[in-house]
Amino acid sequence: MEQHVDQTALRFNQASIIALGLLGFVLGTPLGRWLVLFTALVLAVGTVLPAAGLFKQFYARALKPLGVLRPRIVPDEPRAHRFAQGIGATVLLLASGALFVEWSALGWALVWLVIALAAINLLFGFCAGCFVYYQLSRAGLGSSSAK
Amino acid sequence: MIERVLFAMVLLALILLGGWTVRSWARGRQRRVIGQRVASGHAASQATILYFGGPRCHVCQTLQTPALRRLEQAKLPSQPFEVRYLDATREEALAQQFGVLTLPTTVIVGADGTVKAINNGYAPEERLAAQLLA
Repeated sequence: MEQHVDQTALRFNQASIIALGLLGFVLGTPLGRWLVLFTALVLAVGTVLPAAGLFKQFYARALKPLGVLRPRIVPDEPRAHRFAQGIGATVLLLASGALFVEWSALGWALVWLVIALAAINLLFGFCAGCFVYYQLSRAGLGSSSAK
Repeated sequence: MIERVLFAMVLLALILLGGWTVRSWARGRQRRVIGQRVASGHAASQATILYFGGPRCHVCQTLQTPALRRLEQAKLPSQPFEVRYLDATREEALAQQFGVLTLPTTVIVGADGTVKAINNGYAPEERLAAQLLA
């Protein structure tokens, strides 16, 4: 059965991750780590219970009805995006853990990794996972590469 | 805080610059291929979509393959075509020839055997249809 995804909701999700990550970094570790943790938990909840994702809810209940953002429904696979969101949640949870134990350099490096991948996907439509998979296969580290 | 704002702006600019640079380089590679004639092997008067995928490529299986199937079912009477799947992890020379950087990649080859378009990453059926008819 063909499934569909609202591309605008996805992009709003990515933009929220980037914005909150940047805000957390600018605020500094004592305050920012709470923002990172909050973002990680929102993503984690959204991965396990897609309908409960806070960013998605804000988009659906506020931005879309007010006409601030318009939906763009396309054939797509929701599971792929939930997987990517789960990866983001995991990395941000690790980042917040590092920030809370005062490993600030590691924590912010992980946050910036998530920001970078989200920004590249949002602005260039680039799937980092797809790229890494293929390059590893070419290097002989994939599951079925043949030279 | 000002220092952190400036640092964040610089990092963000570097990320965007890096992304734009890589995209420009990839498109440059593709432009060198577009317009070239490929080796014979496809039927005359029929366009071909070369579909580079991989056995563990999740986007290939969940997005690109269904999109190609929908396109095949919809048919394009003015431009008959065939889809030829290639495992990019095994057909490395061919993948290199077309500048494949990521999976899935689709290459539109016209009925005259020239490369018309290359899509690095998932390409929806609307875009593929437009490229076939162009």
